[in-house]
Amino acid sequence: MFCFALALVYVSQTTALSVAGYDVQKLAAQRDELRRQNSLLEIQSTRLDSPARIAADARRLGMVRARYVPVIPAQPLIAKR
Amino acid sequence: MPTVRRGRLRLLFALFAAASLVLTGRLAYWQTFGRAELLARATDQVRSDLVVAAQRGIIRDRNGAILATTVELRSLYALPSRIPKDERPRVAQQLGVLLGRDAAPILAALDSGAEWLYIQRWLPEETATAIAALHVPGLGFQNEPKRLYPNDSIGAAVLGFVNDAGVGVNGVEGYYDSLLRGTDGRLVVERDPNNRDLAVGLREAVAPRNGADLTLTIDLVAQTAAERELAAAVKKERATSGSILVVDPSDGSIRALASAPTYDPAAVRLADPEALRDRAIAWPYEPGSTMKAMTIGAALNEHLVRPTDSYNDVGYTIVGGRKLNNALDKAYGPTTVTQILERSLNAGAAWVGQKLGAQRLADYFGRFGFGKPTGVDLAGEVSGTVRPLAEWYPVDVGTASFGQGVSVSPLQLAMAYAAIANGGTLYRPYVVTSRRDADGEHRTAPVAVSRVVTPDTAATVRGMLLATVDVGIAHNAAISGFSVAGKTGTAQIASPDGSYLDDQYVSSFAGFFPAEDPKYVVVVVLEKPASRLLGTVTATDAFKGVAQDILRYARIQPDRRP
Repeated sequence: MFCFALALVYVSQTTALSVAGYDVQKLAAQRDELRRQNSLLEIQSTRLDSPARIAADARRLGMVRARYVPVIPAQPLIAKR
Repeated sequence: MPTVRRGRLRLLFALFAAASLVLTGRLAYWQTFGRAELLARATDQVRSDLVVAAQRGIIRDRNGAILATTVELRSLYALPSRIPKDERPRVAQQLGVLLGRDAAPILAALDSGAEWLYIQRWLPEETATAIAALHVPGLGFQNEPKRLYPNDSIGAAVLGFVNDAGVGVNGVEGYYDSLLRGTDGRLVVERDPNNRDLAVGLREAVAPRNGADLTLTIDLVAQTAAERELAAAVKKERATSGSILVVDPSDGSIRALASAPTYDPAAVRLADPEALRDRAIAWPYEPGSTMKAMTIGAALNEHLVRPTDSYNDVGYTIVGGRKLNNALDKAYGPTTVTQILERSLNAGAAWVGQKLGAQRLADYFGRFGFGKPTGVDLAGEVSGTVRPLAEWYPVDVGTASFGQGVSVSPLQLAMAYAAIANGGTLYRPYVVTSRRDADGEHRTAPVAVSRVVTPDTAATVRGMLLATVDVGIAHNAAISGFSVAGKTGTAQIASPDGSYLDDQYVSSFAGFFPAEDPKYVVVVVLEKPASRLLGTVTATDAFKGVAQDILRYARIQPDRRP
């Protein structure tokens, strides 16, 4: 009787371990897919941040490059030449 | 009751005994001699031995923007036998619309009799999602790694690309391939009939060692400006090719490197083969007048001339029995050494070159880094040509003084100008500022190769190049509010027979800013510009376009009144 109970416990534990193993695999696959999606979003973000893309979109919106950009120096300017 | 004869019983018994003996022997064989084979067959049915691919390292610019990364994209495959024959035309039609392809080849592939085939590899995510939503039996997806370059062709020359075999070619991808690639791992595991890993059972794993992540010295903003200006200059001049380099003279780090024609590293198959050659490091050309700064720097360093020394310019000079003319044969009369640069006089440069002599001129060319690779960490660099002194003709000391008869790469010229800009030190150029792997971060230390000229000589040449922009031939490069130093170059192109081609030139400009305290060196080179001798105007325009973007972006304060 004791041996039978022991065998039953062993079988149930092994089954639970197998089921947990399948769950781990499922979660690992989900984790990998989320990582993949994250990489794709990073790429998309980088594409949107690209200076070339921003310049192209600005042109499409009718913007033009500034001909003159005034810079106000923090200290009085001393002409060197 | 029927009786059985004893003889028959004995025969039956003997037959059973023989059969039992054969079976027992067979069983004994499989349990002893055949055990290993049986075990192997059984193990093969449940065990899988997989290579776990290492992730290729990410390449970023100096501010952390991703320049190259590897992402698992979905590839679409088909098991045609699972798609009903009468459904295939409709499936091909739907796939054709979503993939932007003709349906006929897709249908032909489905009807080809293949058991398994790729319909299209590395799909954009939204396309893969749309196809998955069709729920077509017999279609499936497999994740495959793909190298992506989110800035498309920006930085292609410096990055290089990864071929279909996963090997880095050209640029950083080629030079650092073994570091970026990492080491694959291995996973041995037992699987159930549904191909799922068994938690209980054999499991051996060797984790992959992912490739190192690299951070470049490249600045995406400066790189974008260089690519934009180069594309505009090449288009305007219908030039065969061109290159722009931006270098930090204080340590030799390359901030931008553009080469035209260019290509998209994610679609190399569509690229013109000529576009794969990085003009900045793999294009030896005769530099022309940009070399006059080196000739005069050498003579100043040897105390053979002073900036105010003068000669009488008659429009030409005779060297080794050959007449060497100024551009357009113009004569200027009494001319100082400074004015040789301001007016870009060939006769003057040859006069200075003769004072140096062939030996010292060749020696200084070597000290400025010409005739040997710079050692930049990019694949495919050429050394350029400074012929051995024994092969020099008498006239060569004259022609080499103004940059003909020697060949350099745009990068070599940029590093030589960087040496003048930083006070006389030649640095080894580099593009990888740090790499991060499992052991942590490893930073690249700048390498000072040698001192070329004294700080005083470098300062004197800087002043001369400043005058060349302020009042001389390179005035088009002047930028309001900032001091700019530089020199134009127009060189004839040598033909394969050794003579020079008529009306075909390489136009260039090499300069740095702010001239008083140089932060950036920019070199622009255009091959065969349509406006020929006036190609330097376009080169200086490109220089200004890049410089103005960098000045704003780097927030460099004006050092002059506008």
